[in-house]
Amino acid sequence: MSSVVPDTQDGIEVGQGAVYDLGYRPHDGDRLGRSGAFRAMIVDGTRRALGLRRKHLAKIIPWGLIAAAIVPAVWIMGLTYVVAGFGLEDTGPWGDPAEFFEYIGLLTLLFVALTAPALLIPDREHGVLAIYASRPVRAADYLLARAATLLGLTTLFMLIPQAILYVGISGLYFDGMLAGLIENGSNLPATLGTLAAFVLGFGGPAFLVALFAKRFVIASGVYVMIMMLSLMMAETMPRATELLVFKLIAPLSLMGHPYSVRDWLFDQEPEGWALDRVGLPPWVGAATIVGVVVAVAFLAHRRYRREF
Amino acid sequence: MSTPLIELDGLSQAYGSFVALDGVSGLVPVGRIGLVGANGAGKSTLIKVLLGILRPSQGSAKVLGLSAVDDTIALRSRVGYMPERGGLPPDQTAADFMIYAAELAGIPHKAARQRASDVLTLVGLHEERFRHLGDFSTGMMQRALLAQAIVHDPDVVLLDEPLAGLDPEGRDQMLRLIGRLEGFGIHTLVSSHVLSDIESTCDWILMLEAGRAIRNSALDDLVDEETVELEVLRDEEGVAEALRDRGAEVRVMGHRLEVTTVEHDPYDLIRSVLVDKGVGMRLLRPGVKTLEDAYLRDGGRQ
Repeated sequence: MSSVVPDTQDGIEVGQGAVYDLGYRPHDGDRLGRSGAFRAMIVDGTRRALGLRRKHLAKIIPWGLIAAAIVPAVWIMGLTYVVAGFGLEDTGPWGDPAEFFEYIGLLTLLFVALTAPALLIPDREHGVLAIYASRPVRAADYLLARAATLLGLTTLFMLIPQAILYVGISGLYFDGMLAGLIENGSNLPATLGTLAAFVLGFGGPAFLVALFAKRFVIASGVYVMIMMLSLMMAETMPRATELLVFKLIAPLSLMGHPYSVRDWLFDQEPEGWALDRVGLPPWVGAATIVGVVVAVAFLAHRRYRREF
Repeated sequence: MSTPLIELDGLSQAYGSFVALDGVSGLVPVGRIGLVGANGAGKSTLIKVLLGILRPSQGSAKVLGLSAVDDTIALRSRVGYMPERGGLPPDQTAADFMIYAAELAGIPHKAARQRASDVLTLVGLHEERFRHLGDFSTGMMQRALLAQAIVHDPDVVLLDEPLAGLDPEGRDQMLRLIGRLEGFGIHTLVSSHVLSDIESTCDWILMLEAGRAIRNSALDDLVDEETVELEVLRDEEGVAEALRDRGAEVRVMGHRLEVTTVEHDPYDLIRSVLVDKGVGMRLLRPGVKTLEDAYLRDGGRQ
């Protein structure tokens, strides 16, 4: 619809133009279906978790943690280059990928403690699930997208510093970077396996808490408390005990399982995690992690099926 | 009749021992539909069943020929929904959320951006599109909710109490927006317990009372052909008495009389009485009941 503005008004000449009211235009283009919705949910989750396109305050903590994860890796490599010069193969304990998990593990715990609630709680508390319920999206799609965002971001959070160290250390080799990449590549399966154990082992319980908590801060606090208590449990468990009760309790030490898996995959001497103390093999830790993830998936679907 | 907007067949929905919908049946044509009833009558439950959020305890529900149980995903591609409460994330800008709401329905990103801009303009929020939704007033939030309900170009929108919490000016704006949707090819189902709002917006009424459908008819059907409204210049009591003597039921309200008769044509009866009494009249028209009258009468019958 358009109307032409008269070229004279009260005898005075005015510019001629047209006013357009475009009204409502139906969408006659493509529709991407559930796959498009899934991709949109991943992007939305990533933005929410990292505070992107949000107020500045929302960016401080996630980006602070990311900086805390990456800066040391860059720092270690930079320092080694500057002080020792090229040709050094000894990069200290943090240059060892297995050792670096010791540092990045705690940061990952905090990152997950903040990301899981950010992905699930606001949608529930602000009634946004009602909007999802009016789109061609199932509860399983929503939960899968949220879980994929959590696991994907956590993977990147742990992987980027490790990749910096891997490439950096390889660059120090006398025979050139390629030789370093090949030699250090022998650690890759163990590194990736350990990374998966951390991502799933920390992500599963965080997702579970965020499924039921009403407040963001409470969810983060409860999750960290559960993980820390499980670690304390391992510390207080008697060594080399054969009592059945301890063998049953040991798998509840959720915080220790990724570290047990790391010791196992890197073929290291166990550091006294709960499973080691009661004489259970480290694969029990991996199995527990998988079991927790399956249980969380089941509970999540039960929790959300009435919302969609 | 073309494909009905809604088909309900013995639809029941219970929450434990509480029955929210009790054997609701009927066909509702496309157009502007008013879903009316008191709080707790089952309006929101019916909307949730139509969206496939709740699975009916008994019976079936279809929207545009698609089963709410078996064709949920296909149905949701064609439906928009404006919830009664919440629905907007306060930490997102209006533009970002509209784009996201469109993408959730499968609209590609570029088209979603364009549509978000279009619908925000349509609801009068174009200037506010980069403000966070948490900073919006109630009226702006309601308009943003309406925008997200139509941003993916649905065939029908389900509006659950869209006027709740709005001031008179906001209500007026929202009613005008809802009224425009039919012109865009979007059918509307408006749920409200404020009957005058429904009366001014809709052309079909589905009335619920305690989980049962007590009326499912066109708004025009509220015109009562047996009743006539008459306003006389004087002697209203005398005219009323004369009409009663000839078998009519008469209700006197000041100079105005509501005359109901089943035996005679009411206009002939009134003419002859006025001639006999020599009384002039100022108004004579069919007795149009308000939705409120119908609600009170139909609800009373139940």
